[in-house]
Amino acid sequence: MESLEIEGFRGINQRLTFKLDRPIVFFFGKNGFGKSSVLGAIEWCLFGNLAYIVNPESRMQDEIVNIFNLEGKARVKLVMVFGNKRYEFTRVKNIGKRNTKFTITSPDGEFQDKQAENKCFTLLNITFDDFYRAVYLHQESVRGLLIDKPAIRDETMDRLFGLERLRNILKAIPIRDVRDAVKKLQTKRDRIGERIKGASEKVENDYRKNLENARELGLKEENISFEFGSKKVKSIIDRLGEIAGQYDINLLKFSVPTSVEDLNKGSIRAKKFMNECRKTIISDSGVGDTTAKKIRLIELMEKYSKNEEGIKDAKKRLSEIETKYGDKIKIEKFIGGIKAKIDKLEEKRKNINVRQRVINDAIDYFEKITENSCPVCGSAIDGKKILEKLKSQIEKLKTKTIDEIDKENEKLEKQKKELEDASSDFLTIKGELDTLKIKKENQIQSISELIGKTLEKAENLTEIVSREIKKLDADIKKFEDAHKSREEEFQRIEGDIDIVKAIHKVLTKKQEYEGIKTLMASDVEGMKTLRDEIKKLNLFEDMLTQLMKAMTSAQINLADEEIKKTSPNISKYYGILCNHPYFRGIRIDVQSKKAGGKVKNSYFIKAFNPTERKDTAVSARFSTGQMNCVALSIYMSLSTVLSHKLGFLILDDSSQSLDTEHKYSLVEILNKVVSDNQLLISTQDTEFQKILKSQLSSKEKKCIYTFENWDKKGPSIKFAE
Amino acid sequence: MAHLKEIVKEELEKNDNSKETLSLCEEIFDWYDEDGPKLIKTNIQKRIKEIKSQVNRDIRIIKEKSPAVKKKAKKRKRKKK
Repeated sequence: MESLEIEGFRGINQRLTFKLDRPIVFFFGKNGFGKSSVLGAIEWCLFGNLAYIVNPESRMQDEIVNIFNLEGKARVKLVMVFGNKRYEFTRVKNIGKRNTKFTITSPDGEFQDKQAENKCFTLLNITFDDFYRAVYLHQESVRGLLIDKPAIRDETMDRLFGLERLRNILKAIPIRDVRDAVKKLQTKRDRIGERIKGASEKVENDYRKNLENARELGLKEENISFEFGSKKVKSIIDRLGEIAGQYDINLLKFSVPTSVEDLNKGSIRAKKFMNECRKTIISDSGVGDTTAKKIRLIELMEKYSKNEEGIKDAKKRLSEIETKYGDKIKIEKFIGGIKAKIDKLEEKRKNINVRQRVINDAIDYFEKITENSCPVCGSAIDGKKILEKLKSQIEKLKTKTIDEIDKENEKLEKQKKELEDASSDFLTIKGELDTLKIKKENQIQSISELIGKTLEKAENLTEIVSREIKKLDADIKKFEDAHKSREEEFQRIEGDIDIVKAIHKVLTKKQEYEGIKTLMASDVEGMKTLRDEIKKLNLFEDMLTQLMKAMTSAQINLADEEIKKTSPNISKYYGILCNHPYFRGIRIDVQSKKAGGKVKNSYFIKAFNPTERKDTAVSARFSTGQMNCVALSIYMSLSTVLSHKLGFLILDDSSQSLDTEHKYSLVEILNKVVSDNQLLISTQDTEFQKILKSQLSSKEKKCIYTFENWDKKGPSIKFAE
Repeated sequence: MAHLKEIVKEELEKNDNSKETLSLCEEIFDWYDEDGPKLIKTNIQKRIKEIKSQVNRDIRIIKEKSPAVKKKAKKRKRKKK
């Protein structure tokens, strides 16, 4: 790095420029004075991201921009030198806008935005993830090496071993998408194959069925042809023409079949015409009317006969009444006589009743009163004797006279009723007879109208009607005979139409079947192409799988190699930095692990006692300070392995949890690293600052930026060499 | 980065992989160098899409030529009352 210019970024408001062209650059100062903002500016300028914003305010990432900056803009410019070439990386972000403007000015020209991102990657050969885990050593990432989730720890280790590219490539290969695509295409191919097969089987079945039907109609194999069908159609047309001529019907226009489809059209037209002929012939022949007339005549005659019987019966009943009782006048007369008698009897009974009442009253009197004098004239009487006499008289009255009257009355009433019934019947029968006679007249009239003759005498009616019916029967028979022979011809024609239809069906299906066979032949070609295309994808999948396998194998082999290579350094740095009283050494074990369908490296950092051969996972038994030492030893020894082109390391508060002894040890290690890398070290630890100043040596002078204060303008910085 | 590519290629050659596989290996590393992991995913998915499109075109042509087959009506299960 050569220089860094920051304005409006995080804790920095007004523009600050830092010279970074020394092997060691210190950033000293208390917490919150902007040291991490300066280091973060490098990260953000190169990658447009900051690894550790704990609670972002919004998607816009406006927390990047200094809250007091009047322009509302954050701008960072980093100048780096690669070989002899000078590159300026500039990134700008405005408040309220998510995207940043990134520019690289280089000897090759100016690159902007997407092109600049690409150029950056080409130049640095490092991604953002790689950067914040292996170049910019945040305390969080240092400790994360030991206590973060295994997946994250493994990623970190891969990066430290320079295997992050392989890991990135393996992660990026969408093998699952390829496999899914192959599966889906294979399923589609199978389905289309089934579909074609199904279609051809269906058509073949239909063809055979139609052939069977045609044979059942008596068609021979050699006659199932267009020529034969065509001849049949012509014959049908000719015969229909004859019939049409006989009955003076207009024949439909028929064209000679020129194709298989025309056979069907011709047969349909023929059938239609034939049905119309039937209707026309029947309606024009008048046979319908004749038949209807006959039926009506028969109906009328039946009614007439029934009527005649009714008249006969009524006359007979009338005659019976007259024979028994006489005619109507006589019957009325008799009824009158009986009524008079009944009245007389009624009168007689009334009189008897009065007498009876008087005697009953007298009986009552004499029963109640014991006087012996007459209640009327006052003469002396024997009451008891009179009472006895009265009682015997009343008995006589009851038993003899009244009974006789009642019997006589009953007899007369019976006679009267009989005569009245007879009279009523007489009237009813007379009424019926009159009605029947009127009906008869009407029936004769209807029959006359029907047969077209005036019938004078009813006695000849049956004979006349019978003759008429015979005549009608003769007409009907004549028509039926003609119809029979004509219908036979129609049926023959229908049979031929069925044959033509059958031929049409067989030929159509045969065409279809042959079409499908041709199609299948070309489909074989089509399916072959399909298979070849899918095979290409299959092959692609295989190649990717082989590639991934090779990368995984290379990954584990390289990790093994790097571990072997760096183990001495790791152990050395661990020895210097941590100096654990029991676990004297640390080692890194690596295994292959399958996760998410891909094989990755899985690392286990263990501390061990070489003498007693006991080991432990560092995260299980070490203190925070000790874990820090382990992490730092690994980072420092492995950071030299990274194959990026940055050539610098940033350490931010790396002395956390270290005691004085360990701080000295850390500086001892940094002394070894500084020969290969530029170091940017930030700390608020005053003790560590002193140790760094005094103990960390380099060929060129160090530069020290001391952050003394902070206000709205930004940090106040003192520069020293 | 170059050496990683060589190591992977050696591994592939050890397992008798084809020239096409070796060539794909080169391509993938080149894509990574050009624009990182994103470009690898994009280009592979592009290749899948190309083949899929071609296959779908072939299927469409075959379907157009072949007659349709009536599907059997699905039997609807009636709920028991």
